Amino acid sequence: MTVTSWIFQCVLNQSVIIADAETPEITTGVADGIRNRLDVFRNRLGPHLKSIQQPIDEWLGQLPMSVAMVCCIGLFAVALLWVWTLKRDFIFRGAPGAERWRDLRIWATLVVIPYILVYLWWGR
Amino acid sequence: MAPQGLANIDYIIIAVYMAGVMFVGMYFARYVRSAGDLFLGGRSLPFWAIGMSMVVSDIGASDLINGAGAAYDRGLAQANWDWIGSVPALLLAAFLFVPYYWRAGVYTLPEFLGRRYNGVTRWSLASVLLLFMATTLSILLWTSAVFMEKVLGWEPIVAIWVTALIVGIYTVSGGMAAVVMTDVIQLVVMFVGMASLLALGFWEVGGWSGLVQSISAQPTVSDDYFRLLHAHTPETEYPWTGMVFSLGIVMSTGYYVGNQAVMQRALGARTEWDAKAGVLTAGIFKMAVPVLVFIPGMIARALVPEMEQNDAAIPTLINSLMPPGLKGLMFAAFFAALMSSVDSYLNSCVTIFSGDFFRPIYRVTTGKQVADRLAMIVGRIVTAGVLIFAAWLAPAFRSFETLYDVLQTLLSLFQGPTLAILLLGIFWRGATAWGGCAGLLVGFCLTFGLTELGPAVFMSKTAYLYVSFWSFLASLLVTATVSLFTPRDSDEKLKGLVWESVASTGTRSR
Repeated sequence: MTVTSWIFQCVLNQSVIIADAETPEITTGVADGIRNRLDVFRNRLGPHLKSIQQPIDEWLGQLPMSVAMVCCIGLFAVALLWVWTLKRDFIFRGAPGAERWRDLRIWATLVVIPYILVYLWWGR
Repeated sequence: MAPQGLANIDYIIIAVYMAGVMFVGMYFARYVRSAGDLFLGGRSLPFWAIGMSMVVSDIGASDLINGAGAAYDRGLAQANWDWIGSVPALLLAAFLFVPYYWRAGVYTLPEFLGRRYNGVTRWSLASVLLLFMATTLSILLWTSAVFMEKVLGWEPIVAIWVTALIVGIYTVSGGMAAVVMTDVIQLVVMFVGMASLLALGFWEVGGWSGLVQSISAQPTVSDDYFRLLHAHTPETEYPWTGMVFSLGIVMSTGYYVGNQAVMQRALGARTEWDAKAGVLTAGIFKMAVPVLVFIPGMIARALVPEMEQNDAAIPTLINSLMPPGLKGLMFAAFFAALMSSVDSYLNSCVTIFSGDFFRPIYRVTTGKQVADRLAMIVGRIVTAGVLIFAAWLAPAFRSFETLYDVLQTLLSLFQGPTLAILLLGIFWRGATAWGGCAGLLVGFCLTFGLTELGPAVFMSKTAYLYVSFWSFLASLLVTATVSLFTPRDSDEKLKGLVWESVASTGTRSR
């Protein structure tokens, strides 16, 4: 059972307990009906979508872990580089002063560098 | 694990903590004079409070119990949720989305999308967010019940209503300022409590090397237990592709910029600089979260290798390692994590109800703007109503084995589509009202459909990682396609709503 049907069933069960204690067969009937529809949906569509997803999974599965590391570090690095392209004016807008410590590009650098080091060490 | 109860000293520590939080919460009630005070803390929040509040609202009791439980099972890769799953997104949020929302002067994210697109888009997102937050509240209350049952031996139903009552009192009266300021205290208590547990745990297993040695010797543990990035294979729950492309780009950005409970703090900033600096401050604190929360889960694996239920990792550690006094501190830390999430979701839930439903409906039906006092009273009544609903629903979650994946699945239902229409709406003048609306609705349907199909389509056991990514791409495509065939919005309407017009002005809309 997937999470959505699980949640649906939990909510329904709770409703049965609290609001529909006299006629549980009605709510159970509704739940069974919906569950059957979901099964039909899953059986009809699942194989078609699987045929699209499977080759992608196979290709991704063949990539070496060095690619994973490059993509991961690259994500942090690109985000930081983008911050440094922003204008000083935009960075300081609303700041009570223009002291060096208020430069949020420096804050961003101090935030990102430890994460890059952590992934370089434990990402391997 | 049999509940061992607390010593008198523990009860004193908990009572002092509870009284302190209630005092701070009630103290801020005196400053609540308008709906703006209730929902956005009078737009006077400093950056440090925003940052600390964002982190503590984000961590929550579910991370302490369910996140640590997942780390017990899956190892260090669980840290990705707070590392790659937060920092790139926080940078985007701080420098792109926050200035944008802040200058628009909006209460809620659906309100912003309503201005950029149309009312259908606004109400669709508001409805989904309301459902998500009410369900999340229930899950949080149930998590607290599980914890109190294991540690104190309390009946779950009693634990749920006690929690609801305490959080309800200060959230109803103190509003956003109370939520943020109690969050600051809660972050300190939580970090101190978890640091004590971590220190005792490391002492017990012989430090990091002892932990690695002990877990590596277990035959059921995979070789990747101490690695952050796992290969893209069916055996792992967290393949790197899902962690980098889906979590790192789509889910985390969608979470930070599309989740009202998180973004509301930044919207209450006193200046635009405070809003941006607050989000970056959250990034600094996030580094510590996996160390304090997930590593204790891994320590539990070393000490009790075959636990019946993963989510019992932290309660087990507390019961077996913590002496009287520290156990009370840890209990206060847990309660801090719980209350900080419950109060945040509660306040945001009511902000959305008030801003996106009550105010527009009142205006349409009476032809007048809603009076501030009335909005505040309605807000407080709805806060109590939502809390009662969540407490009523909470026991329904007793049948879940682990709630961490459930929470992530719930989040994945709206993150991809919301991010897609936000990005197109900001960067592309050609994105039309009906384009955004279609993109959002098709995205929602797709996420529900793919979540239902999950195991039948995706190789990974954690299908929600890929559901988010595909729904994001589909929403982008649908929004762009429909926009090409529907009338473009006027320049007048787009003023202050697209990037080039916002980046060049420094004033708030209202």
